[in-house]
Amino acid sequence: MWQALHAELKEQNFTVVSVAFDSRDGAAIPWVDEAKPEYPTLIDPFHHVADLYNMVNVNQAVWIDESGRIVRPTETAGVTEGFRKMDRQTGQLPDDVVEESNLVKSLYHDALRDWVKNGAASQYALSEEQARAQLSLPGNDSSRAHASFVLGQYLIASGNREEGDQLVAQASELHPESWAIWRQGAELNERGLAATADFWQRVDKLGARKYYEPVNMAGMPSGT
Amino acid sequence: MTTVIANNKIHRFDGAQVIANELWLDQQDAFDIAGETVAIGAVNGTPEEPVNLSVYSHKAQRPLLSDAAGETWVLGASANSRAQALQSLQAPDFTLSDLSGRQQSLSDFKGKKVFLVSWASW
Repeated sequence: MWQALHAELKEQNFTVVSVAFDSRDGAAIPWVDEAKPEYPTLIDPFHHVADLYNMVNVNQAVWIDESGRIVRPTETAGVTEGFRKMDRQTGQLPDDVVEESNLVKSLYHDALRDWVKNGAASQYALSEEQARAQLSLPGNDSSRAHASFVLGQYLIASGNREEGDQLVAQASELHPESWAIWRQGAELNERGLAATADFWQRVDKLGARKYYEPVNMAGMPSGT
Repeated sequence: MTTVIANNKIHRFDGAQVIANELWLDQQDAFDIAGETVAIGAVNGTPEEPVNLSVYSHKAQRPLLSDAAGETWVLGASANSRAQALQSLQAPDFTLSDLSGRQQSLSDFKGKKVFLVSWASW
């Protein structure tokens, strides 16, 4: 998904590092085979990076400069709520939704290009104060949730499915904002996606709340 | 054999003991897991003397969970330490395998701008 951008920018001292929140052994392989990324594609069965960076969904991203400083903390990586307006029979999206989703994507990619070119001078590289203000910090429940998730996934991988599933479910109850934890534990549809009726029901329950928080960036639509 | 997972690493110990649902480990093993000295439970401080990881986890406000059999344990991070790490704005390092099994760390890319992005097959 990021290969074109990586190829375009890699000569400018830049790399994409992708992390797959995939606990099921080998689940990521067909996707990587198809996308053939040149950037590192790391597999994170315990969702460790989600724990470290307080990520709750995919695709979320963090921008990190040459010295290892976070210049944009965890945020939605240029995707929108548009899928919620999908025709669930046909999978079709209304034209205005497609248009907005393309706009958000292109604004986000342009912002990334601007940062790669201009570094700290880019308007998209946040000052320390701005970056701290945008941080979303973990609480005790999410910390417990991650421990429960790790134990659950380890037990599932060791063949103790019943106890493992319970722990993963418990993790999701402790940290309901995490779609990554919920979807990892959810049933998959025939296409291998955690997008069964349960998923849509959970999305509908969000009501006015967001599935993907809009990116806080100049020119971005506030999200629909 | 007791398995303890902490900071995304799986440790296996022969010397661990579970007494009354609490996990006791050699000091060095406890240090390897906790990433800091665990002195709780040691009476006279000799390195061989076991320490109580359960009491440590409580004091350090780190979740410690085990399976019903008491064979597998997870020591998590405190919310506070995670929050402080993020507030420092120094990107927390991690090491994961790629699809060919090669271990790669975020710190391997120091000196480059990194776009760290999550995805999933599901």
